[in-house]
Amino acid sequence: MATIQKLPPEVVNKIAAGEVIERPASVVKELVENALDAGATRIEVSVEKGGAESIRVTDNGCGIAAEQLPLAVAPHATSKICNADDLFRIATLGFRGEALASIAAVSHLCLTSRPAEADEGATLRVEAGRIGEVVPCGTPPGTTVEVRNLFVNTPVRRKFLRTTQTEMGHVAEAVVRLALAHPDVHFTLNHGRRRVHELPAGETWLARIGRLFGRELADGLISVESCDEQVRLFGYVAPPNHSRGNQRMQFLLLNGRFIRDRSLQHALSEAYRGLLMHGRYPIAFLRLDMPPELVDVNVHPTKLEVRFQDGGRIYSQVLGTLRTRFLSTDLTVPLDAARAQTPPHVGSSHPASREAGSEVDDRRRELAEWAQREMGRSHPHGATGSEPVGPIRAAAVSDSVEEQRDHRESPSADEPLALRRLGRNWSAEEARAQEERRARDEALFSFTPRDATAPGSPLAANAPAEGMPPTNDAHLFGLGNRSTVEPSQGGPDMAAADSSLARPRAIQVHNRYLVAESEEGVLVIDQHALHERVLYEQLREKVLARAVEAQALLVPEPVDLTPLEAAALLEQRELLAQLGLRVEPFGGDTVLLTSFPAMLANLKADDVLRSLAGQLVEGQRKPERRDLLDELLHMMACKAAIKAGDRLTPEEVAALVEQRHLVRDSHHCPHGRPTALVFTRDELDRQFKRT
Amino acid sequence: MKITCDREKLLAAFQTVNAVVPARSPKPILECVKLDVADDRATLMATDLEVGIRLDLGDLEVEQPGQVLLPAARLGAVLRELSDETVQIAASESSTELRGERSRFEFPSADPHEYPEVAPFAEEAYHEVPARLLRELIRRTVFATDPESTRYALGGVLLEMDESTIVAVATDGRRLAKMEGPAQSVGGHATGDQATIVPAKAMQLIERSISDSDAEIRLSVGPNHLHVANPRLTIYSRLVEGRFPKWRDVFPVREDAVRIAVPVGPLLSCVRQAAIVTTNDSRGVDFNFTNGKLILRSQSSERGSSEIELPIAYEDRDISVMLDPRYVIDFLRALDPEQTFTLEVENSEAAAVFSTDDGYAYVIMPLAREAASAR
Repeated sequence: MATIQKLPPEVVNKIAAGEVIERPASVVKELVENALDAGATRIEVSVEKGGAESIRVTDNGCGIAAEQLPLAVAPHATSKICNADDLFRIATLGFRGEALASIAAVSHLCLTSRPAEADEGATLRVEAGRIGEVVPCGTPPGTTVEVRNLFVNTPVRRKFLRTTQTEMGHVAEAVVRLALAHPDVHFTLNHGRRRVHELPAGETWLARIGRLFGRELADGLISVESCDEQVRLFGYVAPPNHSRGNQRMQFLLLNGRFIRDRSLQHALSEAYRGLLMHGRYPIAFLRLDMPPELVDVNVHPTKLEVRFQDGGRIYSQVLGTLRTRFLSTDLTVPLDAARAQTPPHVGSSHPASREAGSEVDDRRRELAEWAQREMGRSHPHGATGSEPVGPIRAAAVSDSVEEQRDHRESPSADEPLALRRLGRNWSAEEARAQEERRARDEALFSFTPRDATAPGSPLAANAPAEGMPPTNDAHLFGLGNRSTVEPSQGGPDMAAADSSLARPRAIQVHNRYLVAESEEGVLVIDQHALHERVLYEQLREKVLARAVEAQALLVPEPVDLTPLEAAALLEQRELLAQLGLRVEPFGGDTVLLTSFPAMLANLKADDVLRSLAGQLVEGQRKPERRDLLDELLHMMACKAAIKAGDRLTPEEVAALVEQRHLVRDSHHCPHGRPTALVFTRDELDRQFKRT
Repeated sequence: MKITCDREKLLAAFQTVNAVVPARSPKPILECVKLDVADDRATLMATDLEVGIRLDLGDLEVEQPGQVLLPAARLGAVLRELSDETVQIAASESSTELRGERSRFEFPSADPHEYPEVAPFAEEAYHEVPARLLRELIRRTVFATDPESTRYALGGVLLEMDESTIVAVATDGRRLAKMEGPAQSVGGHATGDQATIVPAKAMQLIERSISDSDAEIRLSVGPNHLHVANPRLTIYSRLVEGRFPKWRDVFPVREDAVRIAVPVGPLLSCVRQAAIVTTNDSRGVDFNFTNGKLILRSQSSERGSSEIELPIAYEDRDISVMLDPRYVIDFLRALDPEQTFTLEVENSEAAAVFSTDDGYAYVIMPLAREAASAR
């Protein structure tokens, strides 16, 4: 029988290191956080071979006294908190007293430090957990930590390190996050002999954002600010013309600490709803300052996740602040700026130029309307913010339908029409409307052949369309709004269609959704998603088998990326070249695009590259040509497909719905939303209490 | 204000300035044109704040000078529909009246003083360019602009003027068109280091508004505008702000490329034929130069394939380069079909350079078909 024993401290430390120290970037993060907690105003990070060989962080902070050095590398030893209560008002970045011990346990660490008031410094070496002697030495005030041979005694983890470029990407990302939170500190990041970042102290936050992410982005940012009693929100968000295919450009800084918070990310997306295309995410740099006791950062060893005492309030504050700001800014400024960059289209009388202009107008108007509408609503938080789909909504629709019915006609709906007309002494007109409505009901909601006669009757075809006033819910969904069926379309056409159920028939509602019938019930299809899918299938068939044409660029296009994205793209250069995208390093986080797939001529090169980079960064395994090609095809299809809001002619609707088997089978929308909802006939029967 | 003028002349003038008038504008006043009548002359003006035009109306009978704003869309329609020889326009405080022989129109009118000023040409330093050359300069470059580009300002034509030449350059990053010709600098006018990028729309307006028979055209560049004038016409345009790529750095200059004289008309016909079976995602046409002939080949899975031969004077190594036929057609269409031009090719990866002996050069970057087998 195995005996229970207390683990030796080396093992404990290795386990702790496993939680915190995942890769060189984690070391950099911990060391730089220590430097910041030590009050440093200059921090230099030097990295060799992506951090696998060595990492050196030098600061000019308060330093560590010689006699305290051994304690600094001991586990659970810290100067940052004293007792458990402190855990709930943490004002420093670190507090666990684990980082140095963990790093020391899995590497060769050399800690050199001198407090400003001491005459000389001291140095201490720790080799994979074995603590050496404290040796006096000369050094400037401050602390230098050098970490060599990371994971020297954990070969498995060492094996998991990716290429130098990728690891360096992560290191740079870690530094960027910290530098962004501390614009008052001078940061330097070197990789080998190359200087990756040099960020002078004392810049404005906006200037630092510009230095890290490009002036083009920084210039367009919209500042947001709000204060409630305890929580101050301050920062910048990008206008909708700047967006990304992932959420990595959303920087949330909580009391100077970079965090990821699903609920706040959701608040951001919610604030931009309707302004960005599906699958695009807003760019934001937001600082949240609040008393430390309102948030628990002791949730996760890397402190990336935190727990708010009142998450809902913060959610509402972020959402509310952004919406109010959008409402008061007319986003014309950035929009106009964008237009000024893209000079007028060729020929004023050309329809394209008008369209471009009106598109801007439309967007502006849409924005204002949208903001007004959203402001009017209460702000739900968390998951409840998303629209309920499926049966819940269907139930809401049917309720309203039923209410109407109960109100107007208390007797059973199955009673003959004539009887009621006499008995209740209705005016002929009202009765006609009533009958017509019934005909509509049946045409839409039940599919038994006997109904075919009803809509075909001249009475129904000629009757004025008197749909019932749709309730708000029904309106949103489009099902209850029967007046959408125009008489010309709903009458004889429908009857003709009825004769052969095989031919799909559908109507477009709200210029957004297609409502079609199938053997089993009613299908509500997102028109954009369906068309996208159809185009995608067509394109894929054409392209997969063949080579992709690459158009060489006369003027290569530089594209600014995040360090991770740049690294990911450059790592996959050969694969990208097969797709017609040739990229070359161009210094910093910029890559130079020298050729571009000819079939993508209508897309913007930087968008395409960023989306692909996002895909590469996100993907765990090595991507295949097919996967990336798929991504490109998706982008093409998405761009070319009809959008939500485009009005379609009945012929177009019919043509599109002909291909609906594509969505019904195996469609997953690339952005993870459902693309078609089915209301089965049984379900409808049940809702109408017909069974 | 009251004038009588020739209807057809007025219509022609009107159509010229109308190109500037926006159909729908947040500032409704811009949907008008302004007619400014002095004792001996009348000027028609229009602007959308980016581009402005002033056009002299020439002979007309002035009964009473003054200014008036005319609704562009309606006035155009009236002038087109009428068949009278002359029309009479009279303005009062609140309305404008237009009379034909048997018809009368009255339009409400806004205050002409609120109309933005279209500056007359008063510069003393300018370049003089023959009208014919200027039109050619524009026609041969403007199609290569790219209004979508955000990194560079490619939505306009770059103008460079020094003592005795003018150069126009346009590119969309995939091909580049450049045309140069003689121009006389007056008063030390030169563009220097400033990137003078004129919006494509303004360039087209200039091209359409002047005719080959016009006298020398004066061009003057300000810090953010271009002014173009001849005695009867002034066009003002804002410049596109932004950077233009260093085109001289990307323009290929090479030793061992092959130069071939090719007739314009026959090649245009061949390229059009070859383009028939290309599609949007399979657009390349192979240009194979071999002894005595040029063979164009193209294929796409859904439209089939084509092979077209053109006999040319060529005796050298075989060279093949894949080009986008639309780019080639753009170039060929800008030339006289009877003409001959020089085609310079090196290999399948280097740019193809099309040039004529009158200062026109055009660069097309080749397409490459990436190996599908490497999957």
